[in-house]
This record gives sequence, structure tokens and C-alpha cells, in this order.
Amino acid sequence: MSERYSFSLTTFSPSGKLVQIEYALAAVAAGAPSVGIKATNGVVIATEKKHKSILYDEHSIHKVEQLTKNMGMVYSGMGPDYRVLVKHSRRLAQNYYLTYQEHIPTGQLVQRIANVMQEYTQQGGVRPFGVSLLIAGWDDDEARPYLYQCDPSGAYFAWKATAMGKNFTNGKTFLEKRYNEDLELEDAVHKAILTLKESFEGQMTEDNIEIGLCDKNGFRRLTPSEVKDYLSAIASATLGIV
Amino acid sequence: MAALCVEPSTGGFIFENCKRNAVLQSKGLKGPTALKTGTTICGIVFKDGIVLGADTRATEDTIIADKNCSKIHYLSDNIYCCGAGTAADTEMTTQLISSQLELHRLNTGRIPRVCTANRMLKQMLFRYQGYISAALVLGGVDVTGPHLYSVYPHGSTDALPYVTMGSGSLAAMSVFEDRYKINMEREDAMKLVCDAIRAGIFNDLGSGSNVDLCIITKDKVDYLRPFDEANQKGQRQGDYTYKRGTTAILSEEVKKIEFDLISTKVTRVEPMET
Amino acid sequence: MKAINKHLDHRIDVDGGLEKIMNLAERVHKLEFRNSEDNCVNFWQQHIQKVVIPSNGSSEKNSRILEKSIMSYNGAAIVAMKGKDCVAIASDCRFGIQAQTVATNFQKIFEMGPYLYLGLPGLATDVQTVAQRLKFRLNLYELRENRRIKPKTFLSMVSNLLYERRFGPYFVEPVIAGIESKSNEPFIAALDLIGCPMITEDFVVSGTCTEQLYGMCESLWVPDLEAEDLFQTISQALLNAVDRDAVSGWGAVVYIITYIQKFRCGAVNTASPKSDFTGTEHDNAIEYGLYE
Repeated sequence: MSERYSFSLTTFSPSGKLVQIEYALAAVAAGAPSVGIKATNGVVIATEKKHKSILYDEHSIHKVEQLTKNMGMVYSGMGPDYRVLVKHSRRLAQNYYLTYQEHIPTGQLVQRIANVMQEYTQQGGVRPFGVSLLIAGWDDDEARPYLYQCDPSGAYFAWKATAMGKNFTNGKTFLEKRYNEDLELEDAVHKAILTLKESFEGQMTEDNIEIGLCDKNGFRRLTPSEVKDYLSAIASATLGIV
Repeated sequence: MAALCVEPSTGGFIFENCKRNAVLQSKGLKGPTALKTGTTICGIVFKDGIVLGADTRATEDTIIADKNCSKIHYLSDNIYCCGAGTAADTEMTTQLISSQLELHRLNTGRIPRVCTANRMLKQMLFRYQGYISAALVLGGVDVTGPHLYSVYPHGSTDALPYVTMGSGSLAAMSVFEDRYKINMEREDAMKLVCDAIRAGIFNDLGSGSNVDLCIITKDKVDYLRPFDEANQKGQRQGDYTYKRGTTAILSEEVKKIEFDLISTKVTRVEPMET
Repeated sequence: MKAINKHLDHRIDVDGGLEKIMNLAERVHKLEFRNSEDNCVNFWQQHIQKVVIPSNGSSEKNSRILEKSIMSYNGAAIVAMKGKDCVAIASDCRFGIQAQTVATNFQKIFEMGPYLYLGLPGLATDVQTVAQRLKFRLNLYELRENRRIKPKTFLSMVSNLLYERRFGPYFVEPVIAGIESKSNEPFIAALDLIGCPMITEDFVVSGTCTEQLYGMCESLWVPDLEAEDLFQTISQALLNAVDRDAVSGWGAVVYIITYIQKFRCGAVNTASPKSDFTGTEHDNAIEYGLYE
């Protein structure tokens, strides 16, 4: 029924919906899960990176990407769309730096990325992005971390902790139970991995998840060996409990 | 694709005043001069890397506009660039290239190479046919080792073991031609570059004040500013401060500024004990 | 030939400096012999670049030859200085068309925020255009980011506006004075007409009598001046400089921006704006504001 009104994405359906945007959200909800948690001294973003075949070279493509010195992002949804947004975001950040000789505040970059995403819901000849973004940033002026989510519609939210992608409701429920305000970054990494584990099928290894950290020293993607350390720390901790 | 949101234009030159300015000039009004860095800049390759050097004088015609300006510009963590010519051009050109190098670094995930910076600079300067008057000494260390280039305003470049630029380049080059050797030690290289800049400072009227140095090696950058204060100002003997109340005042207005309360602190004052 | 004389008559009306104009006329006459009339007019146009101005009560002895450049078409003198926890920015009040004074209450310093002032010497039309364009960009910035701009960021904004017009510039050389509201650091900077930023630790000068101002500032300025002493220093530097400049003067405005660290009910910053200035009678009078 609704297919009838999806001939152009700039056309509302009689119920007042832009169905293409909802399809885009469906694409996100079908995508690989990702989590973000804000701690007192930083933010962590993490995502599942499963490969369809063992023949893949795991570490040649990344899902966690750096945008500026102190900002990074991850996505759930369609990889190729994400790449376009990463490139666009970096441009926006550099443009800001050129104009003001000051690093772009996280909120500002998010707003500008959201603007780009909104434009793709209104312009002719395009379709909305099939991704939701999690953007982690450290604000030097305010000396505090930020975690934002940005949706295909161009809506954006600031979170303390959130989950997106496949099984995101489970992830969110898990986080609601486990999150507390005075979390340290180290604990936040553990919590993020545990949230991913909630819906993870099969063995979690350093090759099938990716983690990004952001604190006052800037943003960085964890190396596989660092991820391995976290995983083994969690494994021994859970063993201890059980 | 036109943006739907109204934003002030970013990037690109605007020529809206050109016609008006040409009319003003045709009526016999003289156009003003921009800030120049009549300059001595230079650089050498030594055993472990690059030493860049610059003086710190900026001039506007015969007036010294800035006695301690910075002429060694940051391009990336491993590449720096000295600038001579019109100050605004060197400043903006290096900022632009620095930005492009950062994008390049993020998009490729690699440390940018000096030859990349060189290529970007020469392509931009050639596109502007010399109208952007930036004469640069570009140096850095990358995965292929230390590299040093001189870049001319029209877009030609040289890759050499020792280069000088600016109005004091002849003075500086005479020092290099006399004393440069391949595979110099770090300390000797710094001394040589400092002496070359000092030659510019003392023999070229467009150069002056202090010596800045930037030493780039494989894993470290030392930006020494100032490295050497070649011209120290004498101590003032008298006190020329005017007495309070000297200046006659017509009217006075004090404006209170609304402030945001950031924090309040109540401190207790202890009574003095005897 | 006749055309030239007509022009010269006009000049005499404007200046009243009859003797020098006659000399100039002689020179033009001589040239008339050698060249065609067209060239003559051109030559005359070039030579009228040097206009005789009676300075300070039309005393011939003090008369000064003015170079006719765009930057000194209207005349201005602006200076900014750093003190201890305070900054000052001052300008003269004259608006002239070359030698002719048109107004003595011309605004050359613009408030860009409670801690941020911008001085714009140069061609008056561009002074106002640039001030308005910057206010536009600034308002947009502050609305979009929901915060006050830092002086250093504002410097980049000005720099960009001017460099965008690198090949068709505005004829202004801005001066910025402000206090960074978070760190309470005083900040002063100046730019050339195509936007090369220059941040200094002592003072910056701009306008038609920079040479005089440099001289005054180099000898008067010392580090860590209190607000009251900074006011005396900047005022005297400016007044004595414009007294040796024919196209600036006619009173001055001084803004002192101070920061008081400890205050009974919080941190307070004060600055004085320009008010009802009537500077026509007293050349040496000045309007200023001080900390409470």
C-alpha cells in the first residue's frame, strides 16, 4: 500500500510521512549494531564488524573513523553511504578550522552533518543516507566529552549512552540498567563491549569488533591487540563472577 | 548542488571591489601596500633531518610593522614551511595547504610526504600565475627521509640540500656556500642556519630582530622561537609615564557588562590571633 | 589650457592656500609647453596628489604636503594597547575629505561584544561596509554557536573577510582589542588591508599617522600598566601623534576594557562606549571610561 506513495522521496504520503526516510531507518535497524557510551573523562564508540567470509582481509577496512584531532565516528547501516559522510564531515571540519583557526566544537560539526543529511531528504534526484551515525568528541573549551547520534532524517540527539542497528532495543535496555553517571572511560569500554556481546552471535574477537576512544588527548581507534586485551580482561572477569 | 541553508560564502576569492578600486586608482589615488616580509629564510638538510630558519621582521614600506613575527609555518606534524613575500599570502597559502594535508592524512591514513606538500603548493601557486606572492622554503621528514624544497611565487620548485629565500637570501647563501657540508651534526647544522639568518639580519635592511629555528627529525620537531635574540632592545633609563589626570576629559561613561556567573565561592575569614 | 586653470581655481577655493597653489600652477604651465592638452590634464591630476593643507590654524610654517593615497583620503588614527588585566583602544574623531574636515564625530571604533572592540581606519565607505559585514558574520556565528566569540577567533574572521578580497581589497587596516572571557587574557591585534594577522604583546597602531604613533608608543608604553595609567599612556600617545598629522585629530575616543578578578558578587567586566561626543571645541579633550 505505502509503495504507491514512494515514487518520489520528496513527496509526503497522505498520512504525513516521508516513507523513504522510514525505509532508511529500516536499513539502519538491519545494519550491524554499534554502541556509544559517554564517561566522565571521555567517550567510547564500538561496533560489530562481522565478515561474510573468512577470506576477507579484516583490517583493511575500518568502520570507526577519525574526523578531526578530537572527534571520531561510527555507523550502523550502509557502508558506502557512510564513506560519503565521513569525507563530507572531514571537509566541514577543515573548513571551519580554516575560517576560525579553532577546532570545530562537536555540536557544531554534528549540526552541519545533520544539515547535509537533511538536504538528502528534500532535494530532487537523491535518496536519504542509509546510515545512522554515532559521533564522539572531546570539547577542549568546555573540557568535556560529547556523544551524538545522527539519523537519516537529519535529526540528531545527544546521548549519555545509546545503541543503534540490529537489536538496538536490547542494547538500550542493557545500557539503561548498567549506565551510571560517574563512569570512567576504562569501565565504559568494558560496558560497551558487554552491550555488543548481548546480541553477538558466535565468538567475539579483536577481528570482528572495532572500538574508538575519545578523551582530552584526542580521538583514536584501538589497535586489534588493545581490543584483544580488553576482551581477555572481560573474559577473566566474567569467569571470576561465575 | 546548491545548499538549502543560507551560509556566508566560504572559500574562493571575491572580486566585487576590483572595478571600484580601479576607478579610484585611475583618478590618481594611490593604492596602499600590503604587509611584506622583507625576509631572510633558509633551510638545510643535515644528518638526521632538516633545519629551517627565519628572521622575525615584518615591514610595511620602510616601517617595521612587527618586530617578532613568526615566519615558520606549520603544515603538518612532520612538515614545516618558511614564508617570504606578502605576509598575508604566505600565511593563507600555508594554512590552506596545511588543511589539505590534514584531509589527505585522514583520508589515506598515512603521514603526508614532503613531496605531496610541495606538489600541492606549486600547483596552487602556478594556478594563480604569481599573483599570490609567496616564496617558500619547505622542509620535512617523511617515510622516505628528509627533504628540502624552495618554492617560488610562480610555482617553480627546487629540491636542494641547502636553500635560502627572501631579500636576505644572498647574505644567507654566502654563509651556506662557505660552510655547508653534507651529513652535518645537529648542533653544527643549527649553528650554520643561525649564522646564515644573522647574516641576513645584519646585512639586509628588510630582515631583522630575532632568529627562529625549526629542527625536524624522524620522530621529533623542535620549534625554537626565539633561538637567538640578535637584537636586544636597550633598557630604558627614564620613566616617561604620564601622571594620572594629565589628559583632559570631555565625558566619561562606564558600561557594566552582564556576566554569567561561573562559580561562587564563600570563604571564611579567620580573626587574627594575638 | 583653459580647462586646467578652471581646475586650479577650484582648488584655490577648497584650500585657500593661495601661494603654494600658484607654484603648482606654474609647474603645470611649464609642462603645457611640452605636451598636448590631454597629457597636461593627466599630469595635473597626478600632481594635485600633493595638496597643501593649512594645519592648526592655517599657519604657513606648519603646512604639510599630503600624499594623495586612498588610505589617507579620509584620515584616521587608531591605537590599541595592552595593560595589566586590561586593554585600551583609541581613535580620533575626524572625518574629512582630504584636507577638508567634514565631521568631528565620526565613529571608527565598533563594539563587537562586551569584551571586544574593533577599530577601522581607512577609506570611510569601506570602514562602514566592513564594520557591517563583520557584524553580520559575527551575529550569525554567535547565534549558530550560542556563545560569545573569542577575540582570536574574531581575528580569523576579519582576516578571512579581507583575504577573500585579496585582489580587490577593502581599504581598511583593522585593529582588534579585547579580553578573552574565559582566561581573562588581554588581546590586541592588527591586520593589513588584505588580512595578514599580527598579534602583539605591547601595542598596535594603524591609520594615517602610524609613524608618529609608533614613535609615541615605543617611548611611552611599559608592561603591566594599571587601567588608569594605561588610559593616560594611550591618550597622550594618540593626541600627540595626531597633532603631527593633518588629516586626523579633532578629539578622540578611548575605550578601556578591564577585568576585575575578585568582586563581591562575582566577576564583573566593564567597558565604556562612546556617548554624546561634542569634540568640536577642545582638540585635546577625550572621552573615556574606567573600571568601577
